[in-house]
Amino acid sequence: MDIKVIGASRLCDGVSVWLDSRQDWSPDFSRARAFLDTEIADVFARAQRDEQANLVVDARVIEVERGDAGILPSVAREKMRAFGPSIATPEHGVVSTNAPPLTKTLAAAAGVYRYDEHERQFLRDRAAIFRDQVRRRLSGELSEDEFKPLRLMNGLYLQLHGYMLRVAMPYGGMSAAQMRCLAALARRFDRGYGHFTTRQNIQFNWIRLQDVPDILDFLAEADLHAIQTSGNCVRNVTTDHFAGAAADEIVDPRLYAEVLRQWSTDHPELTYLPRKFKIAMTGSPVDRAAVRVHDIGLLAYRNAEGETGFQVYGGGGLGRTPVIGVKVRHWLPEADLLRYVEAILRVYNAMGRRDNIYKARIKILIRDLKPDVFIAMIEDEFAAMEPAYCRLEPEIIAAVSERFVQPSLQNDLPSSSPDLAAQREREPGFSDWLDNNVFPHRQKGYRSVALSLKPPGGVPGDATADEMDLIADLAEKHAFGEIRVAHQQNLVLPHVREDALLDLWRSLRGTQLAEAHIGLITDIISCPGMDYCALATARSIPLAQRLSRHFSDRSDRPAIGPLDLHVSGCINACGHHHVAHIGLLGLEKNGEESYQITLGGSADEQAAIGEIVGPAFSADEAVEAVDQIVSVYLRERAHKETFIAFYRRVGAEPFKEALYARA
Amino acid sequence: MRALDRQAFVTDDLWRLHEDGAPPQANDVFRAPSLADALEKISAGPVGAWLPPDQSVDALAPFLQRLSLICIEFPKFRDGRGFTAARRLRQSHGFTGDIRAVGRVLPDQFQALIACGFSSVAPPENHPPDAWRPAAAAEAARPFLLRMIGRAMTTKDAAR
Ligand code: HEM
Ligand code: SF4
Repeated sequence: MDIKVIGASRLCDGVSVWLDSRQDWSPDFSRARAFLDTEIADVFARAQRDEQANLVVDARVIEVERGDAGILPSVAREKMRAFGPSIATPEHGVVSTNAPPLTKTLAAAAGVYRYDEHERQFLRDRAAIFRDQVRRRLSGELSEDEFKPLRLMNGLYLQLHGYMLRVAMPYGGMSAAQMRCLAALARRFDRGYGHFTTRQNIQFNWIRLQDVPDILDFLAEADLHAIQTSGNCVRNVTTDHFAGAAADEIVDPRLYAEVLRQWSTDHPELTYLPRKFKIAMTGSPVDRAAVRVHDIGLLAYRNAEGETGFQVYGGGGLGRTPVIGVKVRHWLPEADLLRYVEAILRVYNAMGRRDNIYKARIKILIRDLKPDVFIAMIEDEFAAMEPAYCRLEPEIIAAVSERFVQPSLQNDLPSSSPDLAAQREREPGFSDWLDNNVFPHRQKGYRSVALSLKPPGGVPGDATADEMDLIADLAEKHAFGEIRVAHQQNLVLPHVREDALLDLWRSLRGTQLAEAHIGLITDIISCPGMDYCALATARSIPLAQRLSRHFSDRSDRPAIGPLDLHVSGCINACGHHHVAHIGLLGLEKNGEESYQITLGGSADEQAAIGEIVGPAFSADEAVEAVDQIVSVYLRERAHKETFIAFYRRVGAEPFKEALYARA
Repeated sequence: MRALDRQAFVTDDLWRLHEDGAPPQANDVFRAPSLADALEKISAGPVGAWLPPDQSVDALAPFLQRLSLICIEFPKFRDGRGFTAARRLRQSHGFTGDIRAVGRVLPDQFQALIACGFSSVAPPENHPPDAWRPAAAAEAARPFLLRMIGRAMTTKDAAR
């Protein structure tokens, strides 16, 4: 006979709960009561009453099976709710309540972009509005349906084990003081760690709804917030993690990203779009921000007259329907940036599909209308705006620009290359790290340094509170207190003196942050997958961990050279698997996890969507399959040919043969 | 019709939704198919139009001179098309009459509605008039850039 349990998420803290034999909600699955088919309707009605009474949300009937050790949910997601996450987390146990109290002094003089009191007040006001919304939700004045978009607008999701809070790092930048706030937040309100994402945000996985108003207050004092990190609005604008530091940069994109951030924050017209909207921007000819796979991609450059402007791409995106964006404007003058972006969004808001969330992104609108028609519509909308509306006059640009704290780089430093060469000789580990984790800087005598968040077998993008504090200290000591989040889920110290590199490396050496592999095969991007995410079809972290261990152990790892390996836990593609050189997509096949492999994707100037190589593999086979793909490449490549160059030359055939021919 | 003004105070006015088949009169609000016809028949007095979510404001363009009220319908509060419709009426078409939000809107959206050019709201049953005053009274601080560019209003709106 079929048996079932009734599960839900507790409203106040998001914890997964099940009805026990006393018909109370228990967070302990082993106490869940199994009901017979004949009983289920009555009990479920009672669960729905608790939903009406705002005790729980998402009440549902769950199929279970009886095993040796008691009952077990039949489907993977429900198993994960009951027993997950399946990976070791830094501090297993409950959210710590005796962590040090939060102090405001932590946050003094927080950001790289300086807020004034108005802006801080704005964040406080927003936090107060959300405090009131939480109160109204807990009292039942707002229904879950009404509350959900409001909480999403504040970066708060309901996931498998609790609420998840996504905090914005605007265009990936933050200060040491802000990093310390994140560490404090992780200790006080979470389990002592956070997850840096491909969208230059940080996610906390174990948040209680009732704490969120306090969290937002705390963040506000550090000029931090979670505004528009979710919901169908303009999301956090992402950019090059070397912005303002890269040797090849033409225009510092952060200035314009900040302008866009302020313009889009609480935009009265554009907050209930058909779907989320992501803008990325770069100011360098080398695209490190994946602008061609965003809803709008902006390439800042200068024309022959030396004026700043933008090339505009539209309609790129990943997810279920991966698309490379089309160029909608070759030259957009600086002054028209907001007007033009608003014109695009206005057309999208009016015309984007709202009947099917899988067809609601702007990429589908552009495809359906045809790019030429779409472009004509934007230009019409743009032309119809009042001439003065939202124009970025030079004074405005100058005023925003002045608010950025510029690092006081010395412009008379000698190049330290000869010293570095000598240091390499003495410290082979340092030499590897210099080759892989240290990047050219616009100013002679400086470099940018990437700190890896991917130790062998670790969770890509996770950092503990202690690590955050250490990074903050190092940023203060070596990089003018600046830190960046790279979309590869690593962190960057953007301005380190060459003569301090050895010292920095020595400070990192004993930690998990010194892995010398940026851009190599073990620098894996991974989304949270089924271990945390309610939308997942498979786990992604455990596979990323196995791949990272496997290739860390392979003695020829350095020979493999640059290779982007990404894992997503479902078709939403948060791990960017479509634009990986080797991408893995977790699916579910007959109740088992399986992984589809794509090859040849790329997010840079030569953006391409990867090609599916063939039928999916089990988790065990997937590691083996990636290993074979790498072996084919190593065996057949031309001298010094990178993986992606090799793939572009030979295509998928040799790989298909190696993977499937034996069958 | 019962509505809230820009300060969220209740007003009861003479507007009513025109019923199919009834003779068109001043103070009626018409849906698109009957609007052109009604305007020919009504020689004096105010006339209103109803804009459903899937209709472009451009369809109302020929009649704007004669309209005193446009009701923009929100089928769900998450459906933001109405915000753009109001913006377009004010900015691209220079409409200066009353623009009213009708249907499923939330008090939490009040400030945004006003900023987009709405001048009144017909409160839905589940959010009675009292619930809207706090939202209307709230004075929000604004980011730096917005204080400089004054995004919310067009020059015309600001003068009103
Ligand atoms: C755990 C909670 C998350 C949920 C519920 C979630 C949900 C989604 C959904 C539904 C999409 C598909 C959107 C569409 O195609 O219309 C998506 C795309 C995406 N998400 Fe997530 N995501 C989550 C976490 C993350 C994380 C951790 C990252 C970064 C590692 C991330 C970055 C992205 C990116 C880059 C895309 C694809 C770009 C695009 O929007 O086309 N998301 N996400
Ligand atoms: S790709 Fe899927 S599983 Fe991974 S975070 Fe996004 S929605 Fe969740």
